Amino acid sequence: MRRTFITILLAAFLLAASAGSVACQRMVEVQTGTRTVDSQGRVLSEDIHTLKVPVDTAGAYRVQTIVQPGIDPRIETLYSEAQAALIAGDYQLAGDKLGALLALTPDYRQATSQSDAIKAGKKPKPDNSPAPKPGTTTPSKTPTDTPSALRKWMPDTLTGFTAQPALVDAFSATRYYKPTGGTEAKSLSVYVEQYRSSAEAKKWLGLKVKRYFPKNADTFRGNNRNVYFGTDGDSSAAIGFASGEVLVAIQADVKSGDPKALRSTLEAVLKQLP
Amino acid sequence: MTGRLTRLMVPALASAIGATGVFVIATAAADAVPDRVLIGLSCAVALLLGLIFERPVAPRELWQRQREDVVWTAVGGAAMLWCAPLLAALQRSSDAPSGADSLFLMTTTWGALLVLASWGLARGRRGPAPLAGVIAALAGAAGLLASWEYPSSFALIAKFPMRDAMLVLAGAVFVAGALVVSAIGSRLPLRTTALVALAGASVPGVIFALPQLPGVVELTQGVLMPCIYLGAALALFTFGWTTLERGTDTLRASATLMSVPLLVMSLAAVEQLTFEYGPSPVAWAGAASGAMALTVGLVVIAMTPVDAESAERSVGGRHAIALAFAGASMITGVVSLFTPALDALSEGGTGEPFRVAWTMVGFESATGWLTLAAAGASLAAVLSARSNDRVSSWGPSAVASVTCVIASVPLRGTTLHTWNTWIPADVQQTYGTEYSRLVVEALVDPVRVAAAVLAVLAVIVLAFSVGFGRSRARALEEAV
Repeated sequence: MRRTFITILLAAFLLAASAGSVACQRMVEVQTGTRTVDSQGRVLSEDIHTLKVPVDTAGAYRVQTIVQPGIDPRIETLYSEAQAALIAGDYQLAGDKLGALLALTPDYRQATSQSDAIKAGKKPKPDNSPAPKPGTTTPSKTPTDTPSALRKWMPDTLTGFTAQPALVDAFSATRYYKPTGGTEAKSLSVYVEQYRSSAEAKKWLGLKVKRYFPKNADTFRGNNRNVYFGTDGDSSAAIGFASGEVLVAIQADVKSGDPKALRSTLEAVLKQLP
Repeated sequence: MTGRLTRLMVPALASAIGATGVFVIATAAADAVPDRVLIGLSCAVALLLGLIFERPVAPRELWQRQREDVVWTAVGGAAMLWCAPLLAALQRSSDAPSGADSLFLMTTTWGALLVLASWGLARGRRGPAPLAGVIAALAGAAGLLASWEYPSSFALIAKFPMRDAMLVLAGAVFVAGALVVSAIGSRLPLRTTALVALAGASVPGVIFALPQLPGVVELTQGVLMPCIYLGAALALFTFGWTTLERGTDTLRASATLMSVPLLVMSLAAVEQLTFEYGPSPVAWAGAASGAMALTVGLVVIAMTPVDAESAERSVGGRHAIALAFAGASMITGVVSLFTPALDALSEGGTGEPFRVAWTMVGFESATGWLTLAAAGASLAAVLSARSNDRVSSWGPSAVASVTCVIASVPLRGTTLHTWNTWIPADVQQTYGTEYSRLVVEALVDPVRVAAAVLAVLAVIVLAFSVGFGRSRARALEEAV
């Protein structure tokens, strides 16, 4: 009875394993190509296609995003046409053009107010102010720095270190770097967080950096800003500064001995940041 | 019969609760106490607790008469209760392997290895039911643990393959020790076996712990209490398991170790019902289905007929049609481990977006293994009925087969393989956030459906066949 059970089980396994071995080179579908966006993240064009590739090469296929500076030209054209219609007194056409524009972007110059005015039966004045220069954006009170913008503080190359993949959250990002030799550091990490205001960023510099690295404290000028250096008195040292609404902290662990020795390493890293 | 059952329930519960306690406390205290100190001192604490409640029967006489048995039981105890847990503890970091992986590999797998070893050593005196029970219990436990969250961190031999393999190797050491304690310890008085095994574990435990022992202040403040709790759990398991093993056999006693995921899950269920700990990450339908399959697997193992009961008692029909269905179900069930089971899509990434779609096969899904378990249980039921048509012989396997088919439905979209080495690290690091995700959808595979249908058909035909055989036998008796 046991022999029958085991015989059937083994026979089935052999059958399935031989079939499985034929199909063992798994193929997966990946997306690759480019996506072009404007400086506000709106998609201008896409050239993305799907490929079937062997599983071990899948990680190499990504969709590359190209950021084109300036505004989507369709928006500027629609806005100009709307203003021309307002000058000509054709409020119906102006409303249509502004509606088409607002479908592409939630707000642009006076488009929203003009559109609202036309819907309310009013006659808004045309906007005679000059068009914004390419690449300029309207300042906002809420945090607008995107995760990808935070990445400028964690470059792909730092002398003496090999960058690891960045871990990016909504308003913060961390990137670890492995030392390649010739440094006192056993490990290095860069932490960046965006706050609502520069005052908040400064407050959190105290709470997140100065509080945990209070020993050997010193504030010096680096990259044209005030930079804090401190150690935990044990094995780690950090420098931190606030750049506008962004808090940047660079932390390193010493291989052995006094973490104060890490200051030169951290300053060298600082010089490679914006 | 009822009295015997009640007598066995207490050690069974003690063994299961003790094993659960050992896993939970060892996990919770791992960061606070060095591994060698935690495991070594807890063995000594377990021995002391054992000596408080149980006195060895005439130790001097025992040593003079059965010195060899005492030494071998102590060696077995050292392997089972000190060496194996220490080997496992050395492999574990805070989340490497994950809690779900560790729980599966250190409890259900160790129990399964011990059941299989006992079954193999029985040399043909046991039917195939325990093997079917083990497959059902393992598949159920995997389904349960893979439903703890979505996407689950349950991914065996994927993220930390060497550590996973070492946990299984530690399980082999545990099995070797347990078999020695079971075979040679049975020559000693019942309670003495547990005490000798614990003594055997305590000696190397304390010797190896000594170099890492902290000062008196640290010892009393943070180290001693975890060791006492762990020692109490270890004592509970050791006395429960040895008592149950003596009352039944190694095979059935070991099933208690496989039940640990059920008890850990029940802790989570109680927590959800009684306290406010925020939203539960558990996919309860999947977890309940996994628990159901695990339970029936354990019941099949626990109700394995003892040697005398499995004597041939065929009453006519050889259940050829049921055997054909069950055999075909088994073959298609195994084949379905390699046929498509799930469509997976992973997308995200912190820089340039990454998006990949692929198909997972049966052995990467909970449904694949549950279907195999259903097929195995139906075949075990038919083969058991061919030698003994009492319901107690084939009934548990038949029920397990149908239960596994039912359990596979809510678990049809559950993967056992969330981690893939070929997906870039920045995508997998952030699974479950708005930046990257893993989506898995169930596929309807005709081979798997056929295996499930054939298993259920085999059980139905078997039930009719047994009933028909009995009525024919009765008619023959009346005619005579």
